[in-house]
Amino acid sequence: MAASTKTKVQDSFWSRRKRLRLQNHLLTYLVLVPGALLFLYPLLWMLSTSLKPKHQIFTYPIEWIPDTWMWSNYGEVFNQVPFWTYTVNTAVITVIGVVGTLFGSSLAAYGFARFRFPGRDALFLLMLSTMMVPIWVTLIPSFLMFRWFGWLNSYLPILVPAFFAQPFYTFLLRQFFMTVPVDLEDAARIDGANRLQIFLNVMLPLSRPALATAAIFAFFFYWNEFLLPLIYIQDQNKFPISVGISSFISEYRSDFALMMAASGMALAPPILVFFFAQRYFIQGFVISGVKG
Amino acid sequence: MFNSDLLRREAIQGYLFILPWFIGFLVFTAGPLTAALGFSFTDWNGVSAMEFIGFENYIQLSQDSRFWQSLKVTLVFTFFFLILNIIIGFALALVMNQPVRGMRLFRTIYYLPAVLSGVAVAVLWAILFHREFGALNWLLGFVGIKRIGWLVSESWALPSIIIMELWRVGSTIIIFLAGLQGIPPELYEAAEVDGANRRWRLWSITIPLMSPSIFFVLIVGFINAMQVFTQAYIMTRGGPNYATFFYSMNLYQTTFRELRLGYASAQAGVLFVIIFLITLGIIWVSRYRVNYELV
Amino acid sequence: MYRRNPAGLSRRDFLKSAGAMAGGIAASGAMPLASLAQSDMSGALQWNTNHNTLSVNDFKIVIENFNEEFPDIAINLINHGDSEQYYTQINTAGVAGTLPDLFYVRSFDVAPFGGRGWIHPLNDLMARDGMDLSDFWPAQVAQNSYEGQLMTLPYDFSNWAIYYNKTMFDEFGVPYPTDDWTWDECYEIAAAFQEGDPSEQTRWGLEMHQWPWLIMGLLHAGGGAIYTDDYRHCIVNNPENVATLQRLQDEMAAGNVVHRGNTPAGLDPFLTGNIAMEVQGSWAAYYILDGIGDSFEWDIVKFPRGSTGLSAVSAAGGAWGIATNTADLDVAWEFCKYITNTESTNILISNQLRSLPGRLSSVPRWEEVAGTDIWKGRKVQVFTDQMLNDAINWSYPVYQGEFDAAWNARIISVFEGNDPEEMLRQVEEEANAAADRYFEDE
Repeated sequence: MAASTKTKVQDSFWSRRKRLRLQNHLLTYLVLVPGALLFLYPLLWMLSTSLKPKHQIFTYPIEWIPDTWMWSNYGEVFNQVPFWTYTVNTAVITVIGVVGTLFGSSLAAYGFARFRFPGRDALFLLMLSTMMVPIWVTLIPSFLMFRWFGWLNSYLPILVPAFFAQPFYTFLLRQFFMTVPVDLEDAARIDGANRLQIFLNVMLPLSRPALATAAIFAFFFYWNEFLLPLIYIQDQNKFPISVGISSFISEYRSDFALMMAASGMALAPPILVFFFAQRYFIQGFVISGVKG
Repeated sequence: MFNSDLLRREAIQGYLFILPWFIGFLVFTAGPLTAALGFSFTDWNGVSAMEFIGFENYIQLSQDSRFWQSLKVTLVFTFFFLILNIIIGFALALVMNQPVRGMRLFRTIYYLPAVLSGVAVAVLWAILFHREFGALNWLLGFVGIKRIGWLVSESWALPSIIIMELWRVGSTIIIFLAGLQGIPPELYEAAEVDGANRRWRLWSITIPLMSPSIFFVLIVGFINAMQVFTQAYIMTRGGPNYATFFYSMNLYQTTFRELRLGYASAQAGVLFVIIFLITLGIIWVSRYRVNYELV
Repeated sequence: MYRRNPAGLSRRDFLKSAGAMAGGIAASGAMPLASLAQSDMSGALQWNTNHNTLSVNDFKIVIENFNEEFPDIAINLINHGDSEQYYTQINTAGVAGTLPDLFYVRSFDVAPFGGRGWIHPLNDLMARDGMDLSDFWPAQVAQNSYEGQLMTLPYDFSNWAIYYNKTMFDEFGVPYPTDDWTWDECYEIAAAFQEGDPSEQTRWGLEMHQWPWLIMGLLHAGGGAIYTDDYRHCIVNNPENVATLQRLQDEMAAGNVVHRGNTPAGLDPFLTGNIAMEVQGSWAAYYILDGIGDSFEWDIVKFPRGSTGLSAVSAAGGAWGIATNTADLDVAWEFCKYITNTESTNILISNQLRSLPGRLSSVPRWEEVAGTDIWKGRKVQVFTDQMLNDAINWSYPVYQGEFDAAWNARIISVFEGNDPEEMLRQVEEEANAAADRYFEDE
C-alpha cells in the first residue's frame, strides 16, 4: 500500500518532468531558430548584396537572389583600390601585434603569478586600473612623442606598445598561470633551471591553450584596429583594411555591391579564425570572466 | 640569512619579469597621462606658442553645450546598451543552457557576430539601416511597420547603434553560459525537492550565483561603451543633430578638426575621471551585491 | 583689388581674351628651348590629394609629363579618397610639421591653413617669375588669398547646376526644365515624379544635398545673408533663410525632394534612375557621365532662380598649397607652377570635363571638349555661363570649418522635420563662438 503510493507519486513526478522537458525543448527551439536567423540576417544580406548587379540593388521590395551572380564585384574592389596591399598590411600589423602582445603580457603575467615581491598586489591593481584609461587621454601626448621619435607614418606607434604588456592579456594569462600546479616548476628547478628557463620551457608549453586564447583576442583587436592607423598612417600604401575601406566607401558611396564586397572580404578572415578557433575564443571569456 | 637572500632574489627576478610592463606603463600611459593633464591647462593648437590659461578650459567645458550633449549621448548609450546587453545575454544564455540537439550550431551562430567589429561591420549595418533600400525596413514591413529612417532620424539614430552593438551580444552569452554551467546542479535539485518554483530558483539561486559574471560584463562593457567611436564615425558622423555625437566624436572633432589640443586634453581628462569614478562606484556596489563565496 | 567680378565682361570678350591667352601660352610652350631642354633641378616631393580614382589617373599623367622636363625630381603622389580622412591627415601632419610638400587646399581651408602658418605665401615667388593673377577667376583669387597674399595656385573652380534624367521626363510627359526657371518651378516639376505611399517610395523628383556651401547659395538667392560684409560675424539666422529652408523641408515632407543622409550608405539615386533631377556640382559631370553610361538620356540645366528673382549660385574651388615645412621651396614651387599651367590644367580638368578649370586660358579647351560627341546635346556650358554671370563673388571666413561642422551636424534633422529657425540660431551661435576664438588674439 505504502509502496504503491510511492511509485505512483514517483511516476507522476517523472512524467511531469518529461512533459516539462519536452515543453522546454520546444520553447528552446522556438526562441533559438528565429533568433539564429536574425543573427545571420545581416551577413546573408551582405552576401546577397555583394553579388547583385547594379540595377537589382535599388529595387523594392528587395530581391534576394541576384539575376546574374556578379562575382566580378569582388574583383572590381581590387581594381578600384589596392585591396591586396591593405590585406598584407593588416596581416603584418596583426601578426606582429599578436606576437608582441604574447611576449610582453606573458612575461608580466608570469611575474605577477609566480613571484613574491613588495608592492606586487598594488602594482597588479595599478596595471588593471590602466584598463580604465581611455585611449583618447593619451592620444595627443603620444602623438607628439611618436613624432619626436620619428615614428609617424609607420606601424611603430601601433605595434611597439604591444611588446610592453597589455593589461587585459596580462590579466588573462596570470589567471591561467595561477591554475598551473607549482610542482611542475619545482621539478625543473631542482634540475637547475633558472626562472627564465622555467618560464620558457615549462610554463609556456603548459599554457598553450591560454596563449592561443590571448592570441585570438589580440588577432581580432589588431585586425580591426582603426583609430590609430587613421591618425598615424599617411601613406595609402601602408593603410590597413579598416582605414582603406573607410576611404573606399566615401568614394564609392553609391555602389552598395562594391561596399558589401569590400566589407565581406574584410570580415572573412575573422570569421575563418572564429570557426577554426572557437574553442579558445570561448575559453578566453571563461578564464577572464568567471574565474576573475 | 639564507632565507632573506632567497626572498630578495625572488623579488628581483619578479621585478625583472614585470619590468617591460612597467617601462611601457611609464612611457605609454603614465607619461602621456601627465602630459595631457598639463596640456589641459593651456590654450594650444599644436602650432603656435602654448599659452597657460589655468582652469579656463574646464570652466569653458562646463558651459559648452556640445560637450554636455556628447556626455549625455554617451551615458544614454552606455546605460541602455549595458542593460539590454545583460538582459538579452542572460536570457539567451538561459535558453542555450538547455541540452537540446544542435546546440553547438546555435552557439556558433550566436557567437559569430561577437568577433566582427570595426569599419566593415559599421558599413554593413549602415546599408542594412538604409531607409529606402535597407533589409531591416523590408523585414519590418512584414509586421506592418512603416519605414523607419534609422540613421537619418534624430530619435532612431542612437537606438540604431545600440541595436547594431546588441548583435554582438555573443561574448556576453559565452560568459553567462560559463557561469551557468558552473552552478552545482545539486542546488537546483535541492530547491526542486523543496518545491521551489522556477521564478524562485532564478532569483534565489541563478542570479546570485551569476553575479560575478554579471559584474565582469558590466565593468568591461562600461569601459568599452564609454569610448565608442568607429560606429558613429562611419555611420552617422555624430549626427543627425548631434543625436549620436559620442564623447569620442567630440574629442575627435576638437582634436583633429579644430586643433584645440588644450581643450581636447581637458575633455579627455574629464572622460577619464568619469570612467574612473563610475567604475569605482560599480565595484563598491558589487561588494555588497556580488556573491563570491558561493562560487 | 582682387574682388572685381568679370560679370561685366561680355561672354565673347571674355572667351576671346582667354583664347588669346591660351594661344600665347601654347606658343610659348611650343618653343624648342622650353620643350627640349631638361632641367637639372633635382629633389623629391610628396604630393597629397583628396580626389577620386578618375582624377588620380590624370594626376599621374601630369607627373609623367613633368618628369620629362624635370627627370631628377621624384614625385610621390598620395591620394585620400575620403575627405574626413584627408583633413585628419593634414591636420595631424600640420601639428607634426610633416606636411606634404604640396597638397590640396579648398577655398574654405585657405584662411585656417594660412593662419596656422602651414602654407607658403606666394606673392614673392609670383613676382620673381613675372606671373600675375589675370588668368585666374577673380572670385577664386579672393578665396585663395589670406592677408593680402595669394596662398595657393588654383586647380579647379566649381559651381552647381541641376542634372536631369531626360528619359524619365519623357516617360512622365513632363517638359524639360529651361534655363530661366525658379526654385518654385523646380519643386513643382519634382512633384510630378513622386508617386505612391511614402513607405514604398522609390522614385523622387529632386535630390538635394546637405553641403553647407551649396545651400548657402540657395539662401543667398532667397535674399538671406550668411556673414557680415567683413566676414567677422555669422548672421545666418534671418527670416529669409528660415523661409528658404522651410520651403525645402516642406518639399521633402511631401516626398518631392529627397536627401541622401550623411551616411556612407547614401546611394546615388540619380545614377540608378530612381530620381528625376539631382542638384550636383560641376565637378560631378564626368563622374555622372561615367556612372550612367547609356542607361538613360540626361542633361544639365541652370541652377534655378531664388524667390527674389536673383540668379545666384555659390562657387568654391580647389587649389594647391606649398607646405611651409617643405625641404626645397624652389622645387615645390616649380612643380606647383607646372601642374597649374594651362597645359596641365587642360589635362586635369578640360580633357574630360571635370569642374571648371582654375585657369581662364584653359576654358577654351574645356568648351571645345564640351562640344564633342560624348557631351553633344548636353549643356555643360551652363557651368561656364553661370561662373560668368551668376556665381556669387564671396569668400569664406576663417571659421568656415566650424560653420560647416555646426551645419552638417544639424541639417539632416531639418530635412527630417526639425525647426529651421532653431537650427540656424544654433549654427550662428556656434560659428560666432568660433569667430570669437579666432579674432580674440587680434
